[in-house]
Amino acid sequence: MKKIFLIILITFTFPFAVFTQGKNNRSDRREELFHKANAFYKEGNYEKALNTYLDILESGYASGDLYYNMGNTCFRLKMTGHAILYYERARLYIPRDADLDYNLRYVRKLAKDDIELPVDIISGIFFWNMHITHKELFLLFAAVNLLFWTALALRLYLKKEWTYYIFIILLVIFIIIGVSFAWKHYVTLSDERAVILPEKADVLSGPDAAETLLFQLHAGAIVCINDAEDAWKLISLPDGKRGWTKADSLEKIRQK
Amino acid sequence: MKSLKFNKYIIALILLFAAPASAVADIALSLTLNRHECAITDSIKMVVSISGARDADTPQIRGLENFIAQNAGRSSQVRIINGRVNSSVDFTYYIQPKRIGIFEIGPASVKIDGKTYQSEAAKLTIKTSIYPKSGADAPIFLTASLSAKKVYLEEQLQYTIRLYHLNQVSNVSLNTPEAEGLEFRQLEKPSEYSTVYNSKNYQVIEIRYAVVPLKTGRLNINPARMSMLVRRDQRHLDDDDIFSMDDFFSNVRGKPVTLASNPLILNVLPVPHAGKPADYAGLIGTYQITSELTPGRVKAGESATFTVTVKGSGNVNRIPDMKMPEIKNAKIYADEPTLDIRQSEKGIEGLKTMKWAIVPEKQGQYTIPPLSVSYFDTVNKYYRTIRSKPFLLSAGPGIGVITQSPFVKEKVQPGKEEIEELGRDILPIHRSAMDLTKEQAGHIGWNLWIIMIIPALIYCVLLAVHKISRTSSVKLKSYKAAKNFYKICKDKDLSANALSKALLKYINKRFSINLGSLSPQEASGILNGKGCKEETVNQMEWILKKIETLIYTGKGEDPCDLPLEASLIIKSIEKEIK
Repeated sequence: MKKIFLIILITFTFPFAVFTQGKNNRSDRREELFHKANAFYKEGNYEKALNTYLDILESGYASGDLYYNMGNTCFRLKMTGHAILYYERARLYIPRDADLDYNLRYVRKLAKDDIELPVDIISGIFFWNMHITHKELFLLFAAVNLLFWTALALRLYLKKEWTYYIFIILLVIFIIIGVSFAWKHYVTLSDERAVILPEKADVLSGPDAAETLLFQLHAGAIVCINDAEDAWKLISLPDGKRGWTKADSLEKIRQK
Repeated sequence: MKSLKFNKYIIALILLFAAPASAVADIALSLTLNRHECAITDSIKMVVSISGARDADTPQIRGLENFIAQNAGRSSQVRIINGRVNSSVDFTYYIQPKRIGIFEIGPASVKIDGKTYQSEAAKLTIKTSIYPKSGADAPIFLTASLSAKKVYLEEQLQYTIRLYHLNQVSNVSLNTPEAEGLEFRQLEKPSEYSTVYNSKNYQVIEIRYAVVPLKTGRLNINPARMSMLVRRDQRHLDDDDIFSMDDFFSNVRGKPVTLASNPLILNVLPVPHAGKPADYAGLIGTYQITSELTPGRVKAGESATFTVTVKGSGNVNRIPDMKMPEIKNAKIYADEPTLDIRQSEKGIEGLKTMKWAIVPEKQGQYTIPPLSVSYFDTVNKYYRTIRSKPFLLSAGPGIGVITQSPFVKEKVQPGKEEIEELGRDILPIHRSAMDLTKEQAGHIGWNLWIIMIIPALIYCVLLAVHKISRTSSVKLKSYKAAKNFYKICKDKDLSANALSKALLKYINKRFSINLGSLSPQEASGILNGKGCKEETVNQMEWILKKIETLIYTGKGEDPCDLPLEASLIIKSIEKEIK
């Protein structure tokens, strides 16, 4: 009887154990790569460090710390555009990180075009959205959602005055957080910001190299992509300037 | 509106009771004259004001031997200024000089609650005549005068403009006098009084300015110009003017007139070189210095405050910021000096207060040296140096820690500097690989969206359960009510009374109501409201009427043949109402 039990146990637990082991191995490998890249960075071997960080990214994994370290590495390699791009990406994961905030401000000052897209009125109202990640806000909304429905359910069986007030308070919080999350979700999904990567990028009046040169942008400038045509992107600046630039001279901050 | 009035009364009562309490707090006495220079024929208004008191005895005033004084009454006031209740009593007199000369009137003194309060004295110059030699018989004329014709650079003097008028004037406007190298500042509000000149009783408007010469030499003061509307004397109106009636029908209430005063010349001398002290910094006028040290005894590590005050009239902006010399084994923290400038009858007066916190580091005696300031005395025409008193600060055994001065708390402490940025670079890389995730930023997995929906789904289930349970409880109730009724109806000897009660009980239980009796109309109303068929409603009405008939004809206790029909009606009701 004991033997049968043992066989059944092994039969059911073995695949899970193998799966978990495999997963742990892969996770260890990524961590190993991350630390290896950090070691390269410390040695001053920035190119190798960047390549190793990119290996992790290619494996489909990312984190705020990874993008932050890539930003640092690109800064050391004098790739201002890439540094700003990675710092901005890191901000999507770790918006309250003080080191990131400091480094991004510092690198932006070094950029020739210090362009920052203005904050719109609604984002100004939901000011906390800038300091909280999309996922964190979602989890907060989920928690409020749970509390709200719990209070509603409680009202089915306990129609007391205090349950009424709790319900009203939770309803208000639910609406505020709900609208805040909806706005954040919309802003995140429609984020068309991009960073100019080469030292100099020409902005033309049309999607053709023969078109009139309107102005030039430099590495690190943040623009907004409005349209795309072949290998060209229509970009706009906060001051109303618009024009077409080559698609390979910029990269979107938020990847699809 | 009513409550507003009520509140007003309450406030008034509070003021009435609060005023004496606050009045005792800070009583001050002042003696003011409306003029400081006048002719022997003039009368001068003198007001002795006691602020901080609601009632007081008549004050005693010295220096009135050379005047004829006439009491013009007393007035008391209660005012609220900046949320504080201020009460005051004013005693008004008109004094007329008996002889010419310079007189000191006052001080005035009064006893309140056993304590004597005293005002300052005021100076009054009486001349044979202060009026112009020209413009003699004009009904209206303007004069300008200076308190001195020769002054030193930056010495303060007074420039007075007087408008003499026999007729009434209105809309008076004055262009501020202009002169290169002179700075004018108006003193107080213009004063109005009457005087006799050339046997005529003139009304006078007097405007006084403090003047400070900013350059040396012979300076010309251009005539001051005053515009006004002069009312015509009715006695001098021509016959034609009788019909004009401009006073009544017109906005123009008089004739517009612009007058010019006499030009003046002022000689400004540089301050003499002879006897000029080394620390002289251009201060000119008359000044006094006072000083105090509080407390005189402290523990080592505690602070004492040394205060020096320089007060006087003249170019008060030039009162220098004094420097406190270092004291061995003591730390000195200087406070920001304050300068309070105000206008008085003497001109521009100022009070500069300088404070130092002295913190002895060790036990012992510390000598606070006298601090000095030099100025040119315009009264005696020589340089003077005034000094503060020396003080001795005793420090006992102390706490051993040097405390901060109270007034340096919010400032940058001595020896502290702003952080200097020596270099700039990015901050180092992060070491944590824990957060590596396959999810892209801004991506919410479907599983999370499902988690979001679950509470709403659970609520919907609970709501459904709740509704079902409520419905079933109603059904159970109706089932029980019908069952009880059928049971009662099984009795073959059931009377009309008992049947009526059974029907009432059924209706009450079935529809959760609490009727005391059941009439045919009520029953049909209830059943109609619950959606019963008309036929059933009519049957119910019919059976109830029949029961009523039996009861009212005295057959209420006799067995009746209605239970079966009643049961059928109830069955129909149960069928029709789900």
